Formats: sequence, structure tokens, C-alpha cells
Amino acid sequence: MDNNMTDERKHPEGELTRLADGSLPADRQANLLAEIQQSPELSAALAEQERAVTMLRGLDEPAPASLRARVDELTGTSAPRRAARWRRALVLPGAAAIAAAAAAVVILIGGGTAAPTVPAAAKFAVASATLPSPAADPNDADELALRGAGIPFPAWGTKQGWVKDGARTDTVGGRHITTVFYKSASGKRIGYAISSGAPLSGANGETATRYGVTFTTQRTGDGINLITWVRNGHTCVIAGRNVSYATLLKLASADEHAEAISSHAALDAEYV
Amino acid sequence: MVRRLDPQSLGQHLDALYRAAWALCGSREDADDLVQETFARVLARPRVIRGDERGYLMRALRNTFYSRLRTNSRRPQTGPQLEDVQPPDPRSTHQPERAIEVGEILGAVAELPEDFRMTLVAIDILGLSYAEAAKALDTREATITTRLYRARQRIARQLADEPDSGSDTREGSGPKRSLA
Repeated sequence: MDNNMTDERKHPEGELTRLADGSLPADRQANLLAEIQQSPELSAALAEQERAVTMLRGLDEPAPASLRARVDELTGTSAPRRAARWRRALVLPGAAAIAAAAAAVVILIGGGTAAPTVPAAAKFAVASATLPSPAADPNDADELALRGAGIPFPAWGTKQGWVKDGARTDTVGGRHITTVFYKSASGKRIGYAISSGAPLSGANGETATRYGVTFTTQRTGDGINLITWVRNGHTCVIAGRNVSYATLLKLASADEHAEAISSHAALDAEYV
Repeated sequence: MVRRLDPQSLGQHLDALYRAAWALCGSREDADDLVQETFARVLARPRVIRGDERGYLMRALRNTFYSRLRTNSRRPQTGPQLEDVQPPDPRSTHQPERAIEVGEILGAVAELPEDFRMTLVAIDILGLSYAEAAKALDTREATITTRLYRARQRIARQLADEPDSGSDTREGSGPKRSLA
């Protein structure tokens, strides 16, 4: 046995660190988990790591609006002044049209004061992640330690083959939209967005009912396939590009099925 | 892959960079200044980057942070001033208990030894991979892993109100495997 291997056997912090945040390769998890089960010391060490990961990766404090405005000025993405905009519109109608289209996208994705629609929420589900992946829920292997509007996000890695791949939070029209991204082994990517507040409007498409829940599938004008439903009075949206409706329905209904089982278990427990 | 840094794509990293800066400085106000200065430096001239944008920004943030520390250390030291008092969070939509929690967590990170703090910020706050963090912090991936282990351990203990037995900052002093 070489020295590195000896060190690793004595000091398993590297593996525990990676296990806690989900970056330990699957083929190295089984042995470590078996060892942890046998060792209270390793088990306590893992719990500490997971506690820290949950706290740190769950932070969603946004930058202050004043700082964002100053940074937008620096990056050249701030809104142009009215006079300048009109001047450009007269001189360069093409450029102005592009700017107007971009502004419309900004309003659709990140701004505006009206409540977002379902297709607008789906935009976040195909946007970039701005936060690290949330940690696994230490108390429930099927859930992540992140909630949107009080609803836990699912851990689909083991059972569904979709591994968590970052997260983001946004506020539009007073609604907080929390999104977790997942990727498949084949490189496809989806986002699961949950909006706070009352159900969003704009869900128009084919419907299917599973476990008493009505799911609506639709395709937005820019090629995003989405599925949406309402849980606990809040809109949930799963969306992706080049992801079939069947896949979206399977994932959404798997999540609702898990929720139904969990609710039944809680109900049963009350009667014990 | 070598490519030109697109200034307009940097805004997407702002929230994460702000939290990272807060964890480095220990205060919202200093974080605000640090992030603005970092962006100003990065955007002062066209940049060519290799690899991940966020890793590049982490290096820029770290360099700017050190530069500010050096500048401040050359200034005459005075006692606490009125402007040093942290004002309440002005955002009305914010839940006060949540603001306290965020401040407590990031404040605890800010008190970590420097190497631990940088590592924790790179991976758990900015979301870099271990390899990207090692590159951004000019160290080996194995070193990153052991620093991260220690840093998380201290944070978990400190915020659980447990005594931190780890005045030990040595790397590679984690739990021994119990193979009995």
C-alpha cells in the first residue's frame, strides 16, 4: 500500500467532505457509507459536514439593488437614458428594435411588477444557475435541503437519474421563484421552479391527472417544454429544452407520488 | 478554452459574489464596496480568461480583498466611528430573523483562518468545483479538501453553540477511521 493510500485510510475527511456535498463519485459511496454505519465518530463527522453544507448552500441573500445598479452601469447593461434611447431609435431603428426585444426579455425574466405567468416562470427553469446545488436533506434521502414556498425540492439522482446541478432564486412582481436544476447522464438539463403566492396564470395545454393532481403540459414560443401543476396553493413548473413531455410528466408525478406517500405516512402517524 | 470575458455576462454572478464578499469581509457594507471595486478592476480593460468565469471572478475578488487590506493597513488607525455602526437592513421585504441568520453565518465564515475562509467561500458560497477552487486559490485539490473539511467543521460547531475543539488548524487531522 502506498503512502497516499495509507493517508486516505487514516484521514477520510476528503471523502466525507465530498459525500456531504454530493460530489463523491457513486462508486466510492457504498464502502464509505458502510464504514460510517459502523463508526459513530465518522457518522458524527459526516453530520457536521452536512449541517454546514445545508447552512452555507442554503443562503440566498441577493445583492442590494443599489449595488446591482452600479454594477449594471459598469457592465453596460443598465437601461439607457430616455433621450439617448430616442436618439438611437431615430438613427438606428434596427438596433432599437433589438434593444426593445432585449428589454422585453428582461421584463419577462427578471423584472416587471405584475405577477409572472407560467411561461415566464419556465424561463427561470432554463436559465443559468446562480447558486451551488443544495445539499441532500439529512432526514430524507428523497429530498434536498432547500424549499420553495415551503415545498421541498426532490433528490432525483438515485431513483430518477437526474442529478442536482445548481440553483437560483429570483423575485418577480413580488413573487419569489426558487429553482433547482438537474442534469441527466446524457447531458440534458431541466429546472424545477416553485413560485410563492397564489397559482400563476398562463397554463394552457394538454392536461393529465396523476394521484389526484392535474398536470398541464405546454410548449412556449421559444421551444421550452414545460409541465406545471399546483401544490399547496403554489405553482410548480418543470421545464427544459429537448426534454419530452413524457419525461417531464414522469418526474412531476414521481414527486407528487412521493408527496402523497409522505402525507399518508404523516396522517397514519397521527392516528397511532 | 481561452476566450474573451463578456462584461454583460458578469451580472449573473453578482448575488453569489456579494455573498462571497460578505463572508470575506464580515459586513454588508464592506462587501458592497469590495464587489464594486472587483467589477471595476475586472472591467477596466478587456480580459481573456481560461476556464470558468466564476473561478476568474473568485481570483479577482481575492486579489482585490488583499489589496484593500494592504491599503487599509497603511491608513492611520482610529477608534470606532459612527459610520462603523451597522445600520439595519433597509430592504422592507426582508424577514428580520432571516437577515440575522445570514449575518450570523457569513460573520462566522469571516472569522475563520484565511485559508479555510477562502476555500469555504470558493466552494460552498460561490459554487466552484474542487478543481476550480484549487486553480483559483493556487493550491492542490487535496489541500482544498482538507481545508474545506476543517472549515465546515468549525462553522457547524460554532453555529451549533458547541465548543470548537479545533483550535487545531492543521490540515489532515480529521477523524481516524474506526475499523474495529
